[in-house]
Amino acid sequence: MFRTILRFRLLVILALVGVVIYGFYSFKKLPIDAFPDPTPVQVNIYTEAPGLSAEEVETLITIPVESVMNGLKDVVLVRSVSIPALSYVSVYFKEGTDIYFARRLVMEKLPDAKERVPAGFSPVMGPNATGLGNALLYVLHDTSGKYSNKELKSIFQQWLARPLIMSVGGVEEIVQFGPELAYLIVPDFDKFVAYGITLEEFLEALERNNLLVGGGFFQSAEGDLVVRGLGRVYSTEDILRIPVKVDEGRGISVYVKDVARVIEGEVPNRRGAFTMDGREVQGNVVVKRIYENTKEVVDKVKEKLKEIQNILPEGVKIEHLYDQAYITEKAVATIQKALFSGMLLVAIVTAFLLGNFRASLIVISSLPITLLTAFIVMKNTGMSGNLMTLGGLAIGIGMFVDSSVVIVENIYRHLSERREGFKFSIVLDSVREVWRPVFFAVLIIVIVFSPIFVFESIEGKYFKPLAFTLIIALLSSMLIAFTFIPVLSYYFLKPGKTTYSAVMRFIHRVYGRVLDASFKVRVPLLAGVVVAFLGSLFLLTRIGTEFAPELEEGSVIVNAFLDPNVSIEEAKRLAMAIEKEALKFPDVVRTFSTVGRAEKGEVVDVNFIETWIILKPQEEWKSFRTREEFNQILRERLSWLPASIGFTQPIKMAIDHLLSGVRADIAIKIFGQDPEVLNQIATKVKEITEKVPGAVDVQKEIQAGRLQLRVYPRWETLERYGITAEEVLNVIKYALGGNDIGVLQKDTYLFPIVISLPEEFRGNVERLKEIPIFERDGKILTFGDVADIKVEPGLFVIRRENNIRYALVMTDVEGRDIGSFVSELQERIQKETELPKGYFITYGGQFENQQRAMKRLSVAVPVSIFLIFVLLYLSFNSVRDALIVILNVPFAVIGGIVALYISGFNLSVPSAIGFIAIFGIATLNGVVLVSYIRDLLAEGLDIRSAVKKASILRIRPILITAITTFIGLIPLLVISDIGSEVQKPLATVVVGGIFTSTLLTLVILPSVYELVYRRFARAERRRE
Amino acid sequence: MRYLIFALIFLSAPLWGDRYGGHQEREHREKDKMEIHLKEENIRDLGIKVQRVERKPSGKLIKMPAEVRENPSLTFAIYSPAEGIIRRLFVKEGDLVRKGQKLAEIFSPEIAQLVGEIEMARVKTETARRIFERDKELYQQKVIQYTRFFTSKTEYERSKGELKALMERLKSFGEVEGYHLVIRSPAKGYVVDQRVKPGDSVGPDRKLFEVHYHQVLWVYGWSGVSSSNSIKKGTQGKVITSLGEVSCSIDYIGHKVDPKTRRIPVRCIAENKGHILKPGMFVNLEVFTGGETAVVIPKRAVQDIEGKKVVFVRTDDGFEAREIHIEKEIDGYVVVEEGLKEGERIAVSGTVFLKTKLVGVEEGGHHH
Repeated sequence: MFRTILRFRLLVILALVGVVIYGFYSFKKLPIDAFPDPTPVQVNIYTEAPGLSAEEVETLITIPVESVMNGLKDVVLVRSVSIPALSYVSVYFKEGTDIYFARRLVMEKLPDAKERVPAGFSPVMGPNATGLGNALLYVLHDTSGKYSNKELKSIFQQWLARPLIMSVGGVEEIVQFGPELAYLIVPDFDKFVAYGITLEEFLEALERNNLLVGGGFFQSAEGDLVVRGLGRVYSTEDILRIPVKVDEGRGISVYVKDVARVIEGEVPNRRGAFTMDGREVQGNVVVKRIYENTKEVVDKVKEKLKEIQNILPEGVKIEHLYDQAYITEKAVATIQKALFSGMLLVAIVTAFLLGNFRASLIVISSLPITLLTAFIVMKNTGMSGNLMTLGGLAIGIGMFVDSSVVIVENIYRHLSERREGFKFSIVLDSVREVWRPVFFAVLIIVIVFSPIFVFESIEGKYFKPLAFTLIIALLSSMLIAFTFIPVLSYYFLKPGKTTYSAVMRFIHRVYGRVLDASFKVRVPLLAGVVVAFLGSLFLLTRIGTEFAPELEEGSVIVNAFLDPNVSIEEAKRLAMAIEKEALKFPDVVRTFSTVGRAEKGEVVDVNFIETWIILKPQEEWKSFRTREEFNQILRERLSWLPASIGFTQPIKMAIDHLLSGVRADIAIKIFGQDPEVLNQIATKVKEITEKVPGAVDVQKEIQAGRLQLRVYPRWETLERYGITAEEVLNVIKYALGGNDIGVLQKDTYLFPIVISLPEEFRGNVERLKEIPIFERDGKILTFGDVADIKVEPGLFVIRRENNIRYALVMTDVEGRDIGSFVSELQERIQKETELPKGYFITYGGQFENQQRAMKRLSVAVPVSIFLIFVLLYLSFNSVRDALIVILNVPFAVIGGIVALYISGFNLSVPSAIGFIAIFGIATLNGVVLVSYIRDLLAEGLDIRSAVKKASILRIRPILITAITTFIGLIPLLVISDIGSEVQKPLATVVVGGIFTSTLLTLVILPSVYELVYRRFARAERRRE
Repeated sequence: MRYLIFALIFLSAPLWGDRYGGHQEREHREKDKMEIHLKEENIRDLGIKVQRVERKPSGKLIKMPAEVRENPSLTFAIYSPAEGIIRRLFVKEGDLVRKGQKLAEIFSPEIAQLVGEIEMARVKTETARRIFERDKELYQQKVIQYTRFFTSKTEYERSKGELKALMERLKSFGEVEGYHLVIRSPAKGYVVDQRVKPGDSVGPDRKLFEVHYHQVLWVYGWSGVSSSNSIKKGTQGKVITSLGEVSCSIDYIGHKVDPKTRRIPVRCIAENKGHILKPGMFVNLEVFTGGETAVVIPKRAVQDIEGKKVVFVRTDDGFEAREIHIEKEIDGYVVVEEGLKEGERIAVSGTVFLKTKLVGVEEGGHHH
């Protein structure tokens, strides 16, 4: 095979050029993302239910919808939230289910669900987006003072910006905040009484007098005329002119204008608002469709925003506030920086160690080719360039040169030693000599990384791409070492004067002495290593655990829960107060808040505020050094707020929310049936949680205490007058619920017409009771006649998971690792609470992934090590030698653990992957050394000389492998830009691990090998 | 690296030592649960408005729809007492007339006939008188018998009676000039509701006009059943129209619910100053049911905390939560029985925030 490659070397060079060009093209076209999107396959179903309380939403809508969805194929979990006026059901499908298939399944069942909920409510599927779908936020605001937020939303956003942005490919939905322009009819109920009009008649008149009818064609002399019945209203005057009733007794006609006012206002009962830097603006969230590339969508939307700005009237500004691409760019740039500086460092070190300019140039050239090949594979498998995939390349950079180093070094050595031979055959022989060990080494690394592929859920989505790209690049590096490198060496490599550089010779000298010494103090040395190993195991218990380090996103979100009974105006004030407090820091660029929900937004009410604080780049911070410190100061400054607050970051919040359904590090869910009991347990749990060290921002979700205006129909009265409850509720729907009674057309825009109660009726039960609603048997019936109206506290939110209600306590953890926090918390809660039968507690959050990942690894890693052992055994045909190599592995972790401990990082999934990498490197080092010792022994050398000679001869490849890997990771360690956080623990472990593993391989392994060999020899002799 | 950062945070701790102060404050708060500490600036940010507590009449303003009606005892319908045809009209609708002012002249064939009959009766009486006088002389001279004298006497008496009867009848039609009936206004007032023109045939079954003196009108209001109880006879009310306001005095509260409106009719007598009120107008009637002077505060100043009614009294460094007892509730206001003094300043908006400061977010409004 290698002969063929070398013979058709020109073709190989051409192929190389092709690979480089295509690789470069792939790199440029590679979609860029911040993260692999960890969203599970999930379909959300919303049902708007104006006027229903949380309990009613649960029984009338959520439960029927759940019961329909429960039976779907591949459904693993059904979660729901019922709040006043909104039901939200999330259906989670088995991992790997095609999202469009899942949506179709849900779609098929929706009519079924609709049949089971009361008439008038229709469950709809949520946007086809992921939890990380909120790609971009923008606002419309007016600087001229001419336009109100209502106009900004209903005219400029709704009819101008929205259609244009929706037309951008990949935009699934735009969630719009702000008041909506509406025409409000304010009835004067005193006039109703005077004219003997009822609300029912009034509503009917409005409904009947606002129609548009198409009448087909009318044949006439002028041709066929289109018949249009234009009954639609076009202005407030049109509404005022609508006749309500003819009063035959008095002989007068009553019009709307006689009994009501019509004003331009906003749709009542708004449940959300958007504020920016202390004032209310019209805010929007662009939601991207699932699987779309964030950066592409964001770039296109930004382009569109500029276009829209041009057609907006003067003074109206459309402003881009935040997008996820920002962090994508930052993170990817960071990783790229690490990648390229790693490449450079590796190149320098290789040149130094090889001591031959041409040789090192050839080796180094293999690096970009490897990366480009990896990009080709990534692009063609539909992967994106993100923190994880590029991170995989960055951490492996040192390993990718290994194959080439071995090949080039061997060719170079042979060329230098056999000057008289044909170059062709020298190169061929050299490659043939080492291709097996190289292949073997790569195989070992691949096997060592394979446990990562057993990850599932989020850890799988995050770290599988990392392992995948790493392995792909490793395999390509091997391929390149077998194909391009021999050809390049054939063309460019020249024999050197000496095989070893001055540096190398010096190293040999020193190492020889160290080795001699090591044989003398073998026992204390071995004991020392064992002690160090045990010590490091002890250290490991002192290291905290977490899923993955937090990404520094450059912005902070303050979550605030207020009393469930606050009004939107009050909530806005509070949001602005938070913004004001944050803006006092010179390090804050801008703040904005979402209050409550927009039309299709999240399942929250106006008592929930999310304040976004966008910070300057980290280098420019003056008032604080870390985000945690900023959080701490701000938390103190906000302590006066009448709210329960928490801190997070935009993407972290989205991911936390995806995982546990809440926006905090840890969600404690108390399952059971009786809301009252759940509430009591939750209160207790909250108290316990607050006492656990490390707990910050402990929040218990507000479940009850929402005051409700309850309307109980008086059945006897209804029966007596033949009124149906539907008729009563219909009136409530329009009069109190704020449903559209019609639309008003202005130009081509449609605006809702809504009934709005006069000021003095709002919240005044006595007045409400006086409203005349029906006329039956010549008698007028008032609201109070047909229903009992009471103000009572009720439930605020009802959460369910797999059909069981639960209460929620949330907490963030600061200054402590999540893993130990959770276990302490669990222990304390178990000890200090007694749960009634049928009640249980679960814990959710990112730590779950950590635990699950570690569990998987604890099985998969030993399996992979066993596999390696089998491989070694097959190759050495000796259990002894295979065992010695494997024994090298545990000792290698010493450095990793120590490095982790010193650096203060937690044992996270990335650091675990670091340990996996060390296993691979340590094994490789062992293999390189042991196989050479065996060769020398086979040549007939005695054990001591064989061990010594092998060690000295193999120190170069071992050092090169170790140092390149080490050096390649240095940039990841030093860079502190956004995006480097995730790979840092990994790099730390590998750097520490390589240090000890290499040291041990070089100093301890020879001694151990000799010792074991002698024992075996003695045993054999005795047997003989 | 991390260590360095932690070390820096630790070293800089004194710079933001505030943190510990915060802890103390929290402890303090727990000790004295009814105190809320807030800075002036924060109070402003939260939109909490403070108002002085005042004593004022604890009455209630009742608003109701009403209709202006004429006072029936001050309305005069004008009819022609006899069948006839209008010859002349001296006034038109809207004119203000004096009492006794001539309104119309009506030619009535009935009157004409009556006048003719009277003439006839007069002649007849004259004839009867002469016959009687002659017969009287003849009887005194014993020329004729008593029987004959008596007959002519009776005849004369009868004629006289007939004439008198006819005269009386004519008189009953009122003023008559010649063959014409003259219609005069019975009172000062406005001519309203003119239904006729000259030449129209009229009679006792056809109204000519009405004369109404609009100085005093009745305003009928429809009060909600619940509030009608607090309205008393003699209570002063106010009639609100688009033209202005007129005061009135309640003189009647209905005894039963009007089935058509499901409300209680209330009558208020209004002096129609400036002639603002017009009968038939739809107006609003406001009645202020004066109550005793008491501490009255807006309802939104009161929060419900664990079943207790609480208001927030401004102190030097924030607010103090104070339980109050409420006597009654009227239309967005509450009358405080005890717990508040005049002159104290209480929060009247954003009180939900103060409640949260006191009991936290989670237990908001929850009864234990």
